[in-house]
Amino acid sequence: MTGPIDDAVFASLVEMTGGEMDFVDELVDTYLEDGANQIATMRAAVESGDAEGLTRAAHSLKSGSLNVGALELGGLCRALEEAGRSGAIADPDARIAAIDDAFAAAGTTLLDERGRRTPG
Amino acid sequence: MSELEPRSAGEAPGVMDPSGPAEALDHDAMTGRVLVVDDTPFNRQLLTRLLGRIGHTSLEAADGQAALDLLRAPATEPVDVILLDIMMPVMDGYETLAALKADKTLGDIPVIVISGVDELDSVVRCIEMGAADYLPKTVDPAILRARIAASLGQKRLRDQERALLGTIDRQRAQLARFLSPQVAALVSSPDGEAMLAGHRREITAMFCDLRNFTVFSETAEPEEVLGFLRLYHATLGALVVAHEGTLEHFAGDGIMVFFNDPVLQTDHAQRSVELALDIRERFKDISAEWRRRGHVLEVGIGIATGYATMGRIGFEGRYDYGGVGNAIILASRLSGEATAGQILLAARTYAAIDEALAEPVGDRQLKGFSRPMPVYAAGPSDRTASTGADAAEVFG
Repeated sequence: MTGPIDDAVFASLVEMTGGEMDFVDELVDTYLEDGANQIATMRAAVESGDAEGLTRAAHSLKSGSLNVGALELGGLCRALEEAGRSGAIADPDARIAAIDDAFAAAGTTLLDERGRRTPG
Repeated sequence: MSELEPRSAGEAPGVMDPSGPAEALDHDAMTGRVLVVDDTPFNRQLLTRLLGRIGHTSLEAADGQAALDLLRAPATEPVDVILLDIMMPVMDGYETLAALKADKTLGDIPVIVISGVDELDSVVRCIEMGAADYLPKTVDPAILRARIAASLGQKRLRDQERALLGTIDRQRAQLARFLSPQVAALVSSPDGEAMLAGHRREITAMFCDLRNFTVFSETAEPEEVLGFLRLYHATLGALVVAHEGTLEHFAGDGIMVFFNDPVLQTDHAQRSVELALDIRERFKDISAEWRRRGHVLEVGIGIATGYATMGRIGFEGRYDYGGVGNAIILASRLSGEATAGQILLAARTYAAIDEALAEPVGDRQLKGFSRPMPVYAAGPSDRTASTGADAAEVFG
């Protein structure tokens, strides 16, 4: 894998699970499902002006992203989280859109990897 | 919610262990129940699985409030270690930690804070708040294993310590049922051994026994005798405790009580006489009741003050707390000398008490003592009605 997912980090995730690919798949599924929820939470938080909720969702998505190797996405989340902490989030909609794109790309890459591993 | 359900260890410890062969440390073999508190399902899933692989059982909670609710639920088995994320909705890690540390039953559970590398200042804050350790968010199974093991070790030690203290308390409580509370306290006190080994001290000794008890036990039914003794012991026992005397022993109808040992009492002579007067007073009703059943049962009391060597008396396997000294022998002789309802005092006891409490009743030649000695009777005797002759002899 290249691009959205860092090979070395993903390899260390695999190593952490003891090479149990079923478990890796479970973790990736959990990550993708939760990530979609966090992005929805971010949008809702912007709508309702809930800076704290937005910051927390960014923090949560950051943590999972860094573990699966989605480093760029993790970086976007961290920037949003830090902006939220400092109290001034410039253009939150654009930031969330960028996060959404990076998340979609990470998801595609992760599922491609799985598809190559388990043909059919 | 499936998130709150305990998940048991998947495989046996060591199977497919990513951290390599187990170290030969004892606490590595320990397994425990770990509560994972994290709002990110990915983290909970990962930690739970890794914990299961090293033999631990885990429970999960998605935020601090859910964790506290789970820990406080009566159906939840005790948890050995808590893994706590800091940033969570509803109740964050700081609030959760504060609530845990303020809770009497949960405060001792070691808390390991889960932290990202960019959150090290929060780790410091958590450790200051009482967290035991921290775990990086990018989990390394070997570190997870080691930190959990270290916290489990701590928890086990604390649990053992608590169990030991509980045992000591139970033993002390049990001991207090067999010994005088003062002696029971002495046995478990830091200077107890030196005190038990023997010490010389001025004490007041009081002997109390029953007149006519031999006749009573020969003529009454055994059940009656036992019933009477139970009442007698219960009555005297309560009074001895109330006056803070040290009960040396019950032997049939005889009891012996010390004052000023092992607990110091400046007014030991006065206390002993007050105890004797209370016993006599309380015994009036008991005697009257038994007289109606045809038995004459009266107390006779002797009290003496003087130096004695106090401590452990007996042999390996069976020791009593007791004393050796003239005052003790004298108290026993005076008790033998006392008539029904009479309280006889030796000169040294009389000298130490409120003068109005007793009167001289002349010199007596007591068995084992070479010369006659002055004896005093505590009064006023109110036995006139029941045993007129005896009282008349004292306060005639």
